Amino acid sequence: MSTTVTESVAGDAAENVASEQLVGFRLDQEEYGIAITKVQEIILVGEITRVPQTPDYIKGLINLRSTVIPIVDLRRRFGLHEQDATDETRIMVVNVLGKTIGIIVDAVSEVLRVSNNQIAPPPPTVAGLGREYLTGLVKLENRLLILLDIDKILGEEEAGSIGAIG
Amino acid sequence: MNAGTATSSNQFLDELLGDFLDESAELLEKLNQNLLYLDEWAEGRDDPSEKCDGELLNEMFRSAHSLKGLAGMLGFDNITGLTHKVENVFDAARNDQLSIESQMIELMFQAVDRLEAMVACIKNSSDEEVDCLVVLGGIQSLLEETGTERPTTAQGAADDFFNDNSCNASSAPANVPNDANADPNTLAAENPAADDSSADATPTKKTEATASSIKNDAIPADLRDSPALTQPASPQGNASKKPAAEKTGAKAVETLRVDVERLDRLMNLAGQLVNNKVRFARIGDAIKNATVTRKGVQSLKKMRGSLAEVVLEVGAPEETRSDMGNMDVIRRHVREMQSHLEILNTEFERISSIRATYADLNQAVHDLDRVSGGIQKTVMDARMVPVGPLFSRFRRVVRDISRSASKEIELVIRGQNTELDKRMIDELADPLTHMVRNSADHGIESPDARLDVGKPALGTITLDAFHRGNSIVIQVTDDGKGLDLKRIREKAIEKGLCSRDALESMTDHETLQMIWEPGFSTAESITNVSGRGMGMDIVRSKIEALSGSVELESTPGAGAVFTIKLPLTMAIMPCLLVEIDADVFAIPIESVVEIVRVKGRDVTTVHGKRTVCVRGEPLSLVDLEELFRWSQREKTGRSGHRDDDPAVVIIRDENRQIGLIVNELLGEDEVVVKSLGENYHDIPGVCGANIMGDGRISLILDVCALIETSSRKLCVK
Repeated sequence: MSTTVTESVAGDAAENVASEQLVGFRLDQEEYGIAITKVQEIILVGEITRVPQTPDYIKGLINLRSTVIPIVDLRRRFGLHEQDATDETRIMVVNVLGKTIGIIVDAVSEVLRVSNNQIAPPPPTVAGLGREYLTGLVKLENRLLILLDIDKILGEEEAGSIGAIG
Repeated sequence: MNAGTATSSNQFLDELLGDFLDESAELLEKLNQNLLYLDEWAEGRDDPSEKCDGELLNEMFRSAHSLKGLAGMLGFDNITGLTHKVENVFDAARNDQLSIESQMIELMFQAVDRLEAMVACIKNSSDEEVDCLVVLGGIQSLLEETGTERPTTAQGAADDFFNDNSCNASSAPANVPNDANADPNTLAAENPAADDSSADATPTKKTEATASSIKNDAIPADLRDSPALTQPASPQGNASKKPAAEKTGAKAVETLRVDVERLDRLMNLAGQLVNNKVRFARIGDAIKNATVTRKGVQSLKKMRGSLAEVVLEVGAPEETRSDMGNMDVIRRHVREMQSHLEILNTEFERISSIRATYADLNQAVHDLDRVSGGIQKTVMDARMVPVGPLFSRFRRVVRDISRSASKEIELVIRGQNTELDKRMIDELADPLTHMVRNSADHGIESPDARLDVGKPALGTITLDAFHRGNSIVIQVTDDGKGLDLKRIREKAIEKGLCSRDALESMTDHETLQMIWEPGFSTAESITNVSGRGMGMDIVRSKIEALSGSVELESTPGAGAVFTIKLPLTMAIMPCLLVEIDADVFAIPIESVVEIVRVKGRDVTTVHGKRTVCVRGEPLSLVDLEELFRWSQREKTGRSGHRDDDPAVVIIRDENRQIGLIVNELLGEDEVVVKSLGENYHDIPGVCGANIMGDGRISLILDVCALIETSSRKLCVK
């Protein structure tokens, strides 16, 4: 189980502002972040058993140490174009509303600490379908990180495909 | 006190509470049971002055006393108060100070109901107040009447009451204080338990009569309602482990209370052990296949032989030959070949010796199989409890119904020693209650009606449990009038469940199955007992949630039979593994009738459905592809090549059969069932997932749902 997680502390500890840790990952051209408390582990993509009568974005089931967990393809969930797995593709095992599920992301980049004053509300331009899935934007030195509300992304089953965010 | 001891004392309390819940449930169950015996005896005696079995009364006294002690220890004052009274009643009865009358028994039943409700409240940690004033008042008056309790002045009685039941003081000023102004005899007469005729009118009457006295807002509902009131709570209260059917104590077996969760974990581990065993067996097979075959050994032997012959042929040095130089070269080559062959041979032998190692491995796997099987079975057994206590709970249900509906019903219990998974027992309580109530309320006719059609006045409901193959069958049989097909048809149309035309073409059996439809209930009127609460569709879905099935058969005039079929265990299922379009699926062996290979040219179509004749019987063939909706993107490039003469697994549900076309048969395996709902949600047509020996996941097909889908053509392409 190799991960490409590196620790980088970006927050300002001296100021003692409330901060939280995020796991950053990449999907297509964009970088996202999920609260580290939601993430159980990060694993390599193995064989996935497909499952009938499920929405498109449910890739199938895997065996995680004798537990059967569903795998969500986040690319499909966001309506991005398909891409074959690369060496960097990972499954992030997350805990959502008491259930354990895996989500496929293009790459897991880092764990970072952000203080609350780095987090800005999502810009009004992304109002619409995508907006409810993001809780905010994290301003880093020279890039932006999209904060995802993972509970919402997986909670709604009926939405088969959703327009690309951002 | 530091945090550490606080938690440990909390934990200690929790454990104590758990013990209390278990034990109180057992005691109440026993009390209920003994009351039924007493009731039976009281009903059956010829001479009202006949003396009752002292041991029975002693036992009930002891039960009440133990419960009082337990509750007192944990400070459940309301339970202590009521059990104290109950205890006094039994004490008086065994000392012959109190005659055993039906009203006394009825009162005791009510008291037990209240106690069960109280225990249930504690269990669910709800703050709901169980109203037991009527019962308390009834008991008080009963005791006063017999002179065992001080028949003090009216005010004194009330005081006494409050002192005894301080916990109820807050809500107490309802009944007793009112009545305390009257003399004890009228009190007994006014008491609803004592006199059914006045029961309905009591609350209002009393308010008028004693308007002068205390605030009267908390008048309890009349007692006739109370069985219905407390019944929903009572099924939860049952956790008794030993069959309560035996009256006298059975042989003492040393037992230990174990958290069900621990057993679940153990079960899970045992399941993984089975998985590992399967994996070892696979590895063994792979090794076996990797070793030299007999053919290889033989050809090596032959090669050595022919080489030796060549050596002989060319070996004889013939000086005269002119092409000596050539022969020397050949000879040298042959010798070289021979020595290489020898090396190869030793190598070969070494590899062959792996075969012996394989035999060892095979033996080890075999041993592992025995051990893992043993562990699995033992853990499973540990979860098994006899169905008897569950069944005997229905004695009370049947008794109550026969009283209230003035019917004569006997409950016959068979197979009470049949064991079932504890979880199933818990889950079965509600559906079974529903069925028994249905049978008692709608099935069994009134005594007169029964005599009219030439049946004995006494109706019979039979609860039976037995093993059949790999499953456990529970039957609820009644000899009543059966279900009214005409009424079902009317109802189905009325509720818009089915069109008239569709009904016309249905067989009686199919019509009967309408009762399982959501929103269907044949109850002519909503009574206290049935026609409310859950419908038959919920009964069915509850049983299906246990991977079981339920069937109903009914013979007009002769009665109805509910048959519940449950798997022996929900955790491990023997399955047939098949490959369909590059996916592996497990089909429960239970549902597999046979496996046939059909010739492509024998397949015809009937109404566009592929059909084939197997031994003269027509059978429709289905592709899993037709039944399942796969997400579009996964589908591409999947469906591999199909044999012209495909293998077909014939699967059955009840009496319907379909043939499932499969690409390959992979063999039979014990399959550990993992629920999909745990981390995702249930998927129609799939009853779970299985982790195969190689760690991959295969889906376990829900045969019942598949057949349903294929016959209803519900599939959405």
